[in-house]
Amino acid sequence: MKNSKSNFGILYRDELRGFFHSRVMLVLWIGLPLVSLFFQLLQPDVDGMPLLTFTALMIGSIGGTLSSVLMATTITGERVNKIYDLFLVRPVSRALLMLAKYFAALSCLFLAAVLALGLGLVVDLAKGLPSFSLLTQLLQPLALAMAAMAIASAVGLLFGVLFNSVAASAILSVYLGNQLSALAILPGLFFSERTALLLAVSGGILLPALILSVAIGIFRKKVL
Amino acid sequence: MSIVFEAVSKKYGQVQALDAVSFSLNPGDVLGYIGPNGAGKSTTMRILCGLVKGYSGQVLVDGLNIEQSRGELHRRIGFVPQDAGFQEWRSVRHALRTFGLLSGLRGAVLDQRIEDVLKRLELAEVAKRRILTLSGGMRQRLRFAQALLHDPAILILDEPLNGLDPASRYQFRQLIRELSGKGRIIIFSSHILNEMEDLANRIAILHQGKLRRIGTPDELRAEYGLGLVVEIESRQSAELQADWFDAVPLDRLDLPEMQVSMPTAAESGSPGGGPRLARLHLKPGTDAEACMPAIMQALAIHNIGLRSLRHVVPSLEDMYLALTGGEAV
Repeated sequence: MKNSKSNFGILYRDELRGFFHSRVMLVLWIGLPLVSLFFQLLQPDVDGMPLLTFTALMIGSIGGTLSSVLMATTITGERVNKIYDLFLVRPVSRALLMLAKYFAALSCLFLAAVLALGLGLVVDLAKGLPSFSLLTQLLQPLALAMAAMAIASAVGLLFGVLFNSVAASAILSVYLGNQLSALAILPGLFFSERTALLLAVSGGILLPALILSVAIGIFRKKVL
Repeated sequence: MSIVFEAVSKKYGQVQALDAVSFSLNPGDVLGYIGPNGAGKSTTMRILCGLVKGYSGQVLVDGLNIEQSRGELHRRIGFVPQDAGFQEWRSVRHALRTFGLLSGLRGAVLDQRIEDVLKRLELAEVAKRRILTLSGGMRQRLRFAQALLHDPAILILDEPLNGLDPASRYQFRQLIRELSGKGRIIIFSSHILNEMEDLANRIAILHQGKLRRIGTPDELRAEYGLGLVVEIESRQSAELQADWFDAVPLDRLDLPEMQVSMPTAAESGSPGGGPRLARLHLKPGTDAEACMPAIMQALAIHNIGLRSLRHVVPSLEDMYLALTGGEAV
């Protein structure tokens, strides 16, 4: 158990380092704040929705799509190139490998979302809006964006495990990842703010947990 | 330290990859594992490393069941998988550090082990380079390095000579001998049978998932009853023909049967295009000396000048070809 915990930490840090080397993550860290800044400057008509919430939905969608593709292509590529053999001959389980990759991706996405929404907050503050209400309002968009990205990333991981073709796993994860991540956003259209947030967060935890369980179950049985 | 493989069988769908394979190994054993593609060599090795599950029979390492003591046994086994890749953004040193940490090495011990394997595998100069920039041979050395990092008692090498140049192969042989001398158990598969014969003190021949033979090279020759081989080297090129030996009065000379294999021009080293070296495989139990007059007579009829005529002990390749009917290793 102690081994598993420490090896999870090693794998998690290792995956983080891998993502830092990945151009996709660079695009997210630079691109998402730019998207946020763009909306703040443009002030589009979003039908009464708070601008930060709208920005969060966009960030969740863009970040989720890129992350799901990254997860799917990385995992398929690593399986096909037999990269996992050298890990699995050590005290490392298949579940640990996948979970470390997933949480490392999620951490990178969290950083991108915080950067993007934080920039929006800074712009709002510069405009002289009250910071307390903005801070409160920041948590909801952040939760929405993270829930959407958590779902999309889990879908990417599932397809990465399922398919041996990088193209197939990428295309399907773009399509289904985006569709499923909308589940985190939909409650906002039908329920009150508080209920919508609760549903989004619950969906952002439970749905990825379910998808990850299925993916890890499949990965455990895969012949590598 | 010991390895016991007891009636291990494994199926992939309808394909029987391994069929009741049993063997045991002790310290210092170097087992050369040969068989055609798809014979089950990699499956055997991957079971031993804990990478393949769902098999019947049992595998014991030092008396411990590999399924029940996986965490402990991982520390005792080093594995060089066939064609295993690396995440190419890593540097050589970073890859070794990660694998070392996962194997439980820490601090100064880890640093020292990394330096040791970098030096031993001649990777020190490329330690800072990204794996992406390494040649195939360098990557193969890195696969070795990661397997040796935690100083395992058992080393499992799946096609370890792939991609190595002659100098690296020499180093590899030295390394295997050194590790065997220290009492390590080594299992390796290779397509280069003469290198295997040179290194392994035990040979296992696997065919269609079944272990056909296991033993020392001498035991295998005796057990399989492979006859001696007569090598004929002529002075001129392009002169020996297989059918000439059909005319040899085999019954009268107590030469019941000959299998004639004529090497190609490239194999015989004859630039003129014709074979200069022929090998006659005698039936087991045949007295090679008694065959010589008949062979010389056949050659004399066709005015063949002999450079040499000798009988030799069959090689591992001869044994393998006879056992598997000539399937590619």
